[in-house]
Amino acid sequence: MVAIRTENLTKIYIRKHLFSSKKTNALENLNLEIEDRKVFGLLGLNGSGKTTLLKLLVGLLFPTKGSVYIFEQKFPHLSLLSRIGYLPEFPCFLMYLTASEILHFYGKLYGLSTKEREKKVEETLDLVDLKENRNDRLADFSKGMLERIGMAQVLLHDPELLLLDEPTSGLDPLGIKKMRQTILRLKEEGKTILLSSHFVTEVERVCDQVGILHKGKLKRIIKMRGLKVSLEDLFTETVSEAV
Amino acid sequence: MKKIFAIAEYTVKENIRHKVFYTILLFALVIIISSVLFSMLSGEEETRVILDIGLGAIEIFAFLSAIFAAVGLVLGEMENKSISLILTRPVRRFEYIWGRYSGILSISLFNILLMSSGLLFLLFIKGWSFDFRFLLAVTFIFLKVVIISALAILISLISTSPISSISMTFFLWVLGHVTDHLKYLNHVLLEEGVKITIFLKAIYYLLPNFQYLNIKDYIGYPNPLVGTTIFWQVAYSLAYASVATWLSVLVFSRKEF
Repeated sequence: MVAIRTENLTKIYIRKHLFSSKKTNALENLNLEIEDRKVFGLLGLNGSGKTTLLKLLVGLLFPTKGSVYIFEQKFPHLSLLSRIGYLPEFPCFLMYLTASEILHFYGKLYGLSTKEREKKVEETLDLVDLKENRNDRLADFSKGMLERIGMAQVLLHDPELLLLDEPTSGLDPLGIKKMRQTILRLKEEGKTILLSSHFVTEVERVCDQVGILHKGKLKRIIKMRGLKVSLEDLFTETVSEAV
Repeated sequence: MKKIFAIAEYTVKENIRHKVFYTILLFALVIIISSVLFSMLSGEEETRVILDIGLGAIEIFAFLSAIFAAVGLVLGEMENKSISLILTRPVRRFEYIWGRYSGILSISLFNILLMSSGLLFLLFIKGWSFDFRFLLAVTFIFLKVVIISALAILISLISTSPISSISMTFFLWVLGHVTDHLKYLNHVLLEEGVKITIFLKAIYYLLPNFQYLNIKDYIGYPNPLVGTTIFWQVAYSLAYASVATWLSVLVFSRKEF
């Protein structure tokens, strides 16, 4: 089954000024298929369109042209959002709430019952090592702890598809290792994961397939199994060719 | 409905943990209590002065608290992007707006009830005989807040900074209290030969008419309040706020984050 399919997906940002407007092609005619139960890495330089693609896949942005299908169903569709877990590049929360309160709030938005929520919140807080901090306000959390709460809110409703935008950015080496272990464990559980990154080595370690985005265009798709050359070389070669 | 309730609940939680919320309440209570001092200077009109200052303070501080909540929370959430973690869940955009709005109204209602209880307490100490129009006045202060909160959310969605949102909402609040003067202005301009009646009429009907809801001015005077008028005043407030909120939904549905 195909988890994500995009057809000629295009996003043009239009910045309006007083007497003029500026157009930026963030994504151009993107045709992409990601199989379920696979980890797909999106590699690209800053501004290549990775975040734009992920935001289009969760409905935070609207496509200028083209379509998105998730689990063969045309997106946007409200019920599909229950099957997706999204981690933004810089997860921002309501800092006045505690770790437990914010997860309970998100749980309510999925329609989880009180009993289910209590169980899920405890489980996910345990999973991200924040059980001890459940009653601490997010305002008192370090950056690494906020990233972990970010991961907790992704896993809260046990989604089938995870969209992770730069999940290791801002983490210390230990945090990066934990994040990698979490992604590998989720892969074993049969989740479909689309992660964006500009860290080649991280992508290389966890992904089954890698797509290289450059200036809004999908330049190459690489299968990691049996890859004889280094991904870094392939990436730099692809990006250099495109310049 | 459950999601609207969940968003409302978290709006309340977020609001009551903000220092500004307590500062506004504290200021309001200080002014209400200080009305007793002013009343001492007014001879026989003691309770009248307490009533006037008290109800005025309740209105101003209820307005400030509503503006703070509407602009600070809605615009703040869009600016710091925490909204993206709400909208990527199965929440319809109208549920978000109505949830936020309900939360802001719940907080405002709580504020108004708390301030009104303080004022009633002071009035009873001073031997005031209860006038049911006090309850009406308080209800109509809340109705003003119902309208201005809806407008504040709408303005937050179309403006770019908290300062411009607050200024515009404040401007509307002031204009809404002087809309009747537009009729007089029209009359004067017509006498001068300037015909902009349609334009002035459009502004008159577009702006919220807060003067229409100023029941607090009637307390203490033998001015009869007619049931049908009250019905139309309530209907006007609810209809105005409802249209403004659905406009917010329309604007919000097209927003990208």
